[in-house]
Amino acid sequence: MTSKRIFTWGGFVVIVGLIIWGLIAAEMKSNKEQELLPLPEQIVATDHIKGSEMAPVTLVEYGDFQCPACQTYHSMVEQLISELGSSTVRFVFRHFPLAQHANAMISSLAAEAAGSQGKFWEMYDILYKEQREWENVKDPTSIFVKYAQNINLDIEKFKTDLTSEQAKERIINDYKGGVKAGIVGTPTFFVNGKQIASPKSLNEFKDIINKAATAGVNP
Amino acid sequence: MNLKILLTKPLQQESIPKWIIITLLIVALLGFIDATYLTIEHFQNNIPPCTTDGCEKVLTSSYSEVIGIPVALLGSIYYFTILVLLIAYFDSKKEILLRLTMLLTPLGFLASLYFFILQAAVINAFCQYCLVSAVTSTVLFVFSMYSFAKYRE
Repeated sequence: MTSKRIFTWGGFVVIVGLIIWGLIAAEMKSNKEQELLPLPEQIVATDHIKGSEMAPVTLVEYGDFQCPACQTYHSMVEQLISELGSSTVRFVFRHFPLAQHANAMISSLAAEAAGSQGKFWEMYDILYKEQREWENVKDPTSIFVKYAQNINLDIEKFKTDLTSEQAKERIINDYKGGVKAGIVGTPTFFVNGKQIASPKSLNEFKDIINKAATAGVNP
Repeated sequence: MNLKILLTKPLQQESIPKWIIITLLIVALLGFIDATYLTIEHFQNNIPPCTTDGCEKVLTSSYSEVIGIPVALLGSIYYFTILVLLIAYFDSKKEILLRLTMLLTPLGFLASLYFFILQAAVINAFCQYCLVSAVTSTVLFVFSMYSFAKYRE
């Protein structure tokens, strides 16, 4: 091998190696140094809250019903709560409908409309579980009405509430609060007032909640 | 175009300007960086979050994998192959290597075209990283076809 060949191929290997190493390093760094935000707004009675106020851990999610990742976390959170109990973890959901999801806003409105009849969490569950059915439909209203029938809502009231300006304002307020705090995506979780990096498994999630529970103080 | 002719009929090699080959090299390198970044993202995030840039709709769609292999990884391999062939050409000056490189580019172009149409018509969302790759593969294709057309005897 001439020195020129060694130089050509050696240089190529070094450059490709540096690129891959640089990309991996940058990715790890951005994961590690992700700035963990404080909870944007304190929890108030008008929030959607599930679980005991005495629970040592409060978990807040900023979510978007049309986001596939939120759907994955929905079943994780469901399992988390059923395993740890609602006396250990109190769950709060806030809307963060992303602009690229055409049906995010209307699905949030559907949850709010169900909420005005006391069935927010029932609609919340259906929206996530059936996400595939409505995510890419041009006008998902009739699908949401079907869900409303399934959970025995007053359909006329539900339809009117779907266009409620007040509900829309509330959703936008949730969203704006999140943006102001620096949230850039969904889901974003907060445990006892501090953001957590989204856990990659149910076990990791349970560890975080258990640690927070033993650490104790709920703000 | 007849494949046999493309492979055997000599290009007027000395007349293909070096800058075309250097451009191919640089563009392929850009494509490689882009696709490798997405590949790393794919393997690092078990559950890719939805961010305001809207990429997750594309990157988590069922079209982001082909028989279990992430499309981004296929892109990485494609650009890497182009790079190796170009370096091998620089090293050996064997014309067949340049010819093979250029014949590969329609593959990348057609794949990009397919994924562009998917994003526009089926997924209804664009991901800028995929668009970068669409641009780089189109540039590779156009330069290669241009070289074939112009510098063939």
